[in-house]
Amino acid sequence: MERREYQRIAEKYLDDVYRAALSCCRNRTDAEDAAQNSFLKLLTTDTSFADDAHIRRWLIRVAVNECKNAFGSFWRKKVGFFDELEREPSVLEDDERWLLEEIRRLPPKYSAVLHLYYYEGYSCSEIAEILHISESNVQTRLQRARNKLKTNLEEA
Amino acid sequence: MKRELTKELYQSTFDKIHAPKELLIKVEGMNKEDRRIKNKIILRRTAWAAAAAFILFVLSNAVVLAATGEPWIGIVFDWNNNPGQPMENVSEFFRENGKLFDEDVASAQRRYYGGTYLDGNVQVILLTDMSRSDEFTQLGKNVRYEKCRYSYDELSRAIKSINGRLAELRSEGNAFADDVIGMALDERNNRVDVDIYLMTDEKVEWFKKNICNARYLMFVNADALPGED
Repeated sequence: MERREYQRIAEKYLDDVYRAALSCCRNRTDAEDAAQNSFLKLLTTDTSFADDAHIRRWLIRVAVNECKNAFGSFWRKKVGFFDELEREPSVLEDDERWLLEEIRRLPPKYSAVLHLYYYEGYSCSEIAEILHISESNVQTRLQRARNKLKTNLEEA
Repeated sequence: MKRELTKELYQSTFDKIHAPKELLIKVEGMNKEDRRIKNKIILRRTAWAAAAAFILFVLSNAVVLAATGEPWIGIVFDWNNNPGQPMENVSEFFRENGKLFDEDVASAQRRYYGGTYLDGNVQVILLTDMSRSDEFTQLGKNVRYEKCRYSYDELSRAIKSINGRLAELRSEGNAFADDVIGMALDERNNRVDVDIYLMTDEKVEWFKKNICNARYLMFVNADALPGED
């Protein structure tokens, strides 16, 4: 990939890749590492991309997989980006603060599916491909994530 | 106010999250040869793994120490089998006890010499370091060498140390010490036999706790005192 093209892609998709990583890792340091690694792999990959959407999807898949590796790591940071964001009252509305709090309480495997579905707009089959799990598994996780949010809301 | 998860709420929330500017600068500045990121991650993980290994090492040694009286590292490398007697101080010991050993074995070789016994018409020579066998050819013609764990010197030194401690305790009127009626260096088995009169678990435990607890010790029941039939 040419330098100029790479920089265009980085500028265009870094936020998306970072958000996806953050929703999985849920801490800033790991998310930044995952995002950087994703772009480093983009520089060195031999994959031929059909268009920008293809690149975006590829980057998000790599970032999610990078985070999956971090999930099993006991050295994962405990202080999350969400904590830092919540200390910025001017940035978030009440509903948004509530949503972030609820997402933070979800297990990472649920929050990842939730992000890919609600934010990235991927279908269940596309999410299944990204996460290397079955489509029914995606549906189950999505349903359980919704139920957990609902239960948490009722308990609150 | 009723709250619920909607696509709009999710998107408006995450739209407010942006990658730090420094991250964009780093990513844009990366090139194909850039391994700083991976190196950073590897370094961080290695540091954590080293810390975890150290904690595991300390904890496991503490557990084994509490259970056996000796850390596992000591058991594995046989560091502390003769408490109170520094194993490295061999030359000083030889100056005092050289006469205990076979005069044919030069003092410099004694740290490798584990003892000898006859197996039929073959003389077996035990060595702690088999690579030194050519230094012992003068001990016989029909010779076989075998690896052993402890040198004759070490075992003899242990006997001397234990006897010294027993003598102290006997002078204080300790009944348990009186029941330890003999010590012998078993060259064939590369160990020290401790003869205990009418041996019980209690007497053995007392010995291990108050005298010495080492793997080269073999406790033997003696059902008759010296001179008794």
